[in-house]
Order: sequence, then C-alpha cells, then structure tokens
Amino acid sequence: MYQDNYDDYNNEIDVEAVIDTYTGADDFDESELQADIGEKQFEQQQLLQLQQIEQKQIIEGIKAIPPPVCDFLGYFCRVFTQKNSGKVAHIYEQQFNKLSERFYSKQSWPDPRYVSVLVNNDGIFMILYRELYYRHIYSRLQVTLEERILSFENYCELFNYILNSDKPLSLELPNQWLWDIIDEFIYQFQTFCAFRNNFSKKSAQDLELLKNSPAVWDTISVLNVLYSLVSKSCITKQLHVSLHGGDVIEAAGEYGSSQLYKMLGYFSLIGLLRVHCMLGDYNLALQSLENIDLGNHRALYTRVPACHVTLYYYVGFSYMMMRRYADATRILAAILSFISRTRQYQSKFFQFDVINKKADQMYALLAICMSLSPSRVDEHTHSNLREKYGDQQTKMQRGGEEALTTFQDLFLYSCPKFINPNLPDYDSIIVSSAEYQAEAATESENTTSKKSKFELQNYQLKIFMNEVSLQLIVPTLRSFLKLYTSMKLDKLAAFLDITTDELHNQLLVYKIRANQFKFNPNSSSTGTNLLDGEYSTSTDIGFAIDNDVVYIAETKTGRKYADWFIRNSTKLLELVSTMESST
Amino acid sequence: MSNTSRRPEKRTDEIHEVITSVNRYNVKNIPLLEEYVKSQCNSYSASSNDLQANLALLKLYQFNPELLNLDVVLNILVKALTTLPGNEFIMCMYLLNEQLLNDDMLVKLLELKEMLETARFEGFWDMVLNDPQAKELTDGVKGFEDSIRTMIADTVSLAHQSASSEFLMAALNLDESDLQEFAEQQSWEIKHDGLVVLPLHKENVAKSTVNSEQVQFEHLTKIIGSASEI
Repeated sequence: MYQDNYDDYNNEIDVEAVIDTYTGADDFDESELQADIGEKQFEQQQLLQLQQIEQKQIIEGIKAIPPPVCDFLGYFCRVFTQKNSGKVAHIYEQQFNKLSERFYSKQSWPDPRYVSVLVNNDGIFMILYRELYYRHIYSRLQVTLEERILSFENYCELFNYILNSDKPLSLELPNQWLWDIIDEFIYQFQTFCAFRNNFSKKSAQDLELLKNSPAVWDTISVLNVLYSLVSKSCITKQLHVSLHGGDVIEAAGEYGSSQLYKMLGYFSLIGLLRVHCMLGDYNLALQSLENIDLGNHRALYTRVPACHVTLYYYVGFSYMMMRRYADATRILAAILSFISRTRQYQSKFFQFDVINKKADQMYALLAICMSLSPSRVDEHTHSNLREKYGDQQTKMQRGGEEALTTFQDLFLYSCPKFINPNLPDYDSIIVSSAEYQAEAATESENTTSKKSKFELQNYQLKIFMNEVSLQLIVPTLRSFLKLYTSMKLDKLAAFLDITTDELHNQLLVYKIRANQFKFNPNSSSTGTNLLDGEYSTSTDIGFAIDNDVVYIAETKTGRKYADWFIRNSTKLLELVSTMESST
Repeated sequence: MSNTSRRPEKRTDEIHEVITSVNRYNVKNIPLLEEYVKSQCNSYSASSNDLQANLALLKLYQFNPELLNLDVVLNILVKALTTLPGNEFIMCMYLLNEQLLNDDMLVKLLELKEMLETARFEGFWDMVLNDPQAKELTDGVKGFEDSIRTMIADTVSLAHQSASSEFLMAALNLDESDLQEFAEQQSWEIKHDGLVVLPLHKENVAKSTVNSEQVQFEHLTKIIGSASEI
C-alpha cells in the first residue's frame, strides 16, 4: 500500500497555519477601505465575519476528510510537484480508484476548496484535482447543472493553461490520464448536449441559467479545443513524417517534442473522430485519422487500451454507416480478437468494465455487418459472436419484419450517442414549460421529452435502416443461388415463387449491394487514408446472367493449416518453457 | 468511380484551403461553397461531384440551421444521385435532420433514389420524365440523364454477359437507334436476334475460386527464432 511510501512525510498537518497563509494572500487593501466611512466599515466587518465563517468551514471541511485520504492527497501533491511520473501513474491508476471505492462510492471527493488549503497549492495540481473530482461525480453521482458548468470551466482553465503557455510546459502526465482527460471532456460534452435538449424535470432557474450561458459546452468551442491541441502538437505532421520518412524532431517542433503535447494532440485526433461521428459526419470522422496507421501493431494508440478500443469502435461504426460493411467487419473483427486475446492482462485495468461493454456493442455491430455482407472472421471471434448474437443473426438473415426489428434493436444498443450541435430555443421552452406546469400535463410532457431525446438517434437509425431494407432480399436469394451452378432464370423464379422480372430485378440488386467500396491494405496507391479504397465485390457467391441463364460460382476459403500450425507451435513453445522454468 | 478523398480537378485552391482547414466552420464561406455546388451542377460529368466540399457545406448548415438553403441541399443530393450505387448520397443524408424529411421535394428525391437502388429503372425513368416535381429536381443538374444512364449501364454490366435489347432499352430509356449508338460507346455488341453481348470482366464471369491461405513472414518470426535456439 501507499502508506509505505510516506516515511519522509509529516502526517501532522497544521491546518490553522495553512489557513493563515491562504487567507493572507487574499487580504484586501485596507488603506482603500479606510478611506470610506461607516458603511464601508460595516461591510468590512461583515466581510471579516464571512471570512471567519468561511475559515471555519474550511477547517471543518478539512477535519471531515478521512485521515488516509488526507495523507494520500498530500502525498499525491508532493509526488506531483516533484514530477515523479512513475509514482503519479501508480497513484492515478491504482490508489485513487481504491480510495474512491473505499470512501467515495456514494459521495464526491473532498471539495477542491478544502483540498487546495490542505495541500497548500493553487496551481495546475488543483486544476487536475478538480478534473478528477468532477469526473468522479459524473461517473458515480447525480450531476447538477452547476457542477456541469464548473467542470466545463475547469476544462477551459486546464486547456488554456496548456495551450497558452509561452513555452512548452514541463508537465508530464501518464498517457492513461491524458487519454482520460480528452475522453471525459467529450463524454461530458455529449451528456451536456443530451441534458440541454431534455426539458422534463427542469426547474425554471435551471432553464434560465442554461439560457444565459450559451457558451458552456458549445460545440464549436469543444471542436476548437481539439483542433488547437492537434495544431499545437504538430501531430499531423509528426505522423506524416514517421510514415513517409523525414526529420521527426523537426516536424514535432518545440511543443510536439514534449510528451504532454504530443499525446494530447494524438488523443485529440481520436477525439475528433468521436465528435464527428456523434454529429453524423462519418467522412470527416475518418479523415481525422488520415495519418494513423491502423495496421501498425506498435502505434501510439496501443499504449492505452481504452483508446485502442475507442478508436476501432468509431472507425468500425463509421464504416458501417458508410455502407462499407466489409471494411467494418475487418476492423471490428481485428479489435475483438485483440480484446479476447489480451483479456487476462486487461482484467487488471480499472477500465476493464468499460472495455467489456464496448466489446459487447462491437459484437452487435459485427453481427449487423456480417448479416449485411457475409464474410469470414477468425474462428474465435466467430464462435464468440455465435454465442452472443447467434439468435439475432438467424433472425436478421431470415428477412421480413422480424429481421428489421432485430437490426433496429442491435443498432440502438450499439450506436454511439448522437448530438445536436445547436442550442435549443430556450425561450419557447421556458414558456411552454410554464404552461405545462399550469396544466400539470405531466403525461404529454414526458412524451415530448422522450421524443426530443431519441430524435437524433432515430434520424441516423432511419437513414441506416433504409439502406438495410434495400438489402433484405439478399440472404434468401443467396441461399438459393448457393445450390446451383447454372440455372434458367424462369426456373429459379418458380422456385422462389416470384416472377422472372422480379428475380432479374433481385439479381441486379444483389450485385449492386455486393459491390462495396473497400479499403485495400496491399494497394500502394491507398496508403493509410481510411477513406481510400476501391470498388470490389464482397460476396462469396459470384454470378453472371447470360440472357436467360444465370451461372453461379462460389468462392471458398481453403482450410488454414499454417495458422493452426503456427498457433499450436507457439503454445507448445510456451508449455515447454513453463515446464523448464518450474523444474 | 472516383476516389472520394482525392481532390477533383475543378476544385480551386481557395475552396481546397477552406475545406481542409478549420476555416470550414466559418459561416462566411457558405456563399463560396454554394457557388461551387452550382458550378458542379452546371458541369456535365458525374465526376465533377465534389463530395468533400459539399459535405463541408452541409456541415455548415448543420451548425447554422437558420442559414440552410433547401434548394442547394436538393442540388447536392441530385448530383450525388449520379454517383450511385456509391455511398456519397447517404453520407450527405446523415448530415440532414428529421424536419427536412417532411419536405415534399426531398421525399420525391428519396423515391427516385430508392428506384435506382432497387434496380427499378423503368419506374425511375417514368418518374423523371413525367412527374413535374421530379423533373424540376433533376433539371437543375446538367447532363443528369446521361450520367444516370452510364451508371445504369455500369450496374447492368456487373451482372450481365448478355441481355435482351428490350430490357436495355427500357432500363436505359433509349429507343432502338439510340441504343445502337450507346452500345457502340460502351463497346457492347448487338446481335441480329436483338441480343446484346457485353464485354467480359472480373465481375460478370462466374468463376469458382478457392482462397488459399497466405502466411506472412512476420507470423513465422517466433517459430524461426526458437528453432535457432535448439
């Protein structure tokens, strides 16, 4: 435990002394006050009184902090100011969560005002503490509007501090933390968008406050932060150079050479992917990743598991929405196989649950994609998929109404939260909510709020389902085609119980749907741009119509002997080495 | 079909600058991009469609709904229709919103799209030629019919080695002499019995293949490495 590390730390915190220095700094100019008369003096007395009350509050507040947490915070601040990055990482990933579990599972961490006095620090450490403080509230408790606004302001302070520094800050934070900052920033933005568009159960004050603070969690400001971090770190140039050759240090520049800026810039690219995806701009989403090579097993994103998973999830989802099902399948299968292979290591990470939930959503996406464009994935992922979504897959392939509802359910379960970038019309809502209250028409209020909440989800769903519905004839047709190598059109139509014209039409649709734009990792012209690709048929059934006869041919995948051999020889190797080491 | 991420020839430096930088969020660029949509519509070729620029404009509309110009949106979508069965049309659709779906013209446009995507070409042509709303929509794009015709021909040649000329005339909305001319352009051969033979390529030949396993060298590194230890 961390207590072991405290040996050189004085456990006795002289609260009073700390308060003195704290309030002393805030002391107002007395000479100015004395220039004024009676009234002012009265005010001053009041102020002093207030200050005393506040002081008392702070003392009480600090006393209320459990001693282990007090020790921890002092230790944390000290290690942080000493720039001991190894220990900071340990605190961040382990101890903070352990203490959250132990003391703060149902309440927030100590008020930053008290902590600031306790550790006698009001700089960057406190900004970061507040980031943790609000993040903890978001993850475990009900968030009030004030907290949402304060958290936003804290992020602004943090990013201003980082971006507006004259020279690169010498601050170093664990990659995991940096990723979590970007991730949480976007998460809070997304929940705020949902929050401001959900008008039920909102008090008039809250609405008024929302109306008066349009800049809070404004979409453009959020994008601006991400774009600024990207440009400050020259990350695009750095990645470009590392892919195509050139002077990496020169490309990185002054700021980009620092781990803080580089990683924030890198994670912001993935943040942009996510935000654009939430706005329905899948094209721009994938464009953000222009110089990130998804084929590179040692790429920066692999350093943080949550980042790795997020990246693949949004890329897979974007591909799916863009009707590039083969690409989506490839991406999703790759990450799912990675997750299941590394399961044993990941159970140690504190974000294990989050990753598991995402994995489950990705299996659902994979089920959708594979129903729309049948293809093969590796054995292991395939059997996991069958286990989780086997029933749904059968339903989706059967066609009809039931298939559509299954597609819909899986989509809603696995899609990201979409956001409306604009402010709602608060004035009309304030009026109408007053009316509602007058009429006490709770029922209708509920339905409208529900509607607005799901409207965006539904719009994206609608467009997607329209694509899906075009494809519903494909599975049945495919199962029939599989049986023959050549067939008269009229005869096949009779089997399917449709007219020849109808069959001809379906065959054309089959071809249209099978012809997908596909990324080709082997093609030299495509490079790493995820939007690139070429049209090719992705189906295992090829056919050609020669006037009134259709010729059919199946593409089969041979057995993978080498894969089996390689995997088992590695297994044997491990077995032998464990046996040797145990003897 | 053109690559969606590459820069089309007609895109000027000014527009390229706008859509590849944060300037794309600046509302002042709306007129510039709207003008560009117009010039795409005035160009006959389907490859003049600049998806990136048009998406940037739709995004500006998304962020500033009060500035949305429905006619421009419709123009973008009609132009995107000529790139079917690619995904440009739906990518534009994702940036619109529920309210717009109530617009009559857009509903009509979606009907046209559905006919093309479900290969109901006869119905499509019937609508384009006889429905006043559909006519109004497609009139805005120069060379619309020819672009669609080429697109349908591409689709048909994905599936057919040969087809009856009656079918082709209906699908392409051409009479006999026009079909002859069109067939020459496409290097299709019209036989005496009215059968049209299409050139063979990868997609319209049914050939069964077995994908055999390919092992990449890096997968063997571990085995080779440990083999040298023995």
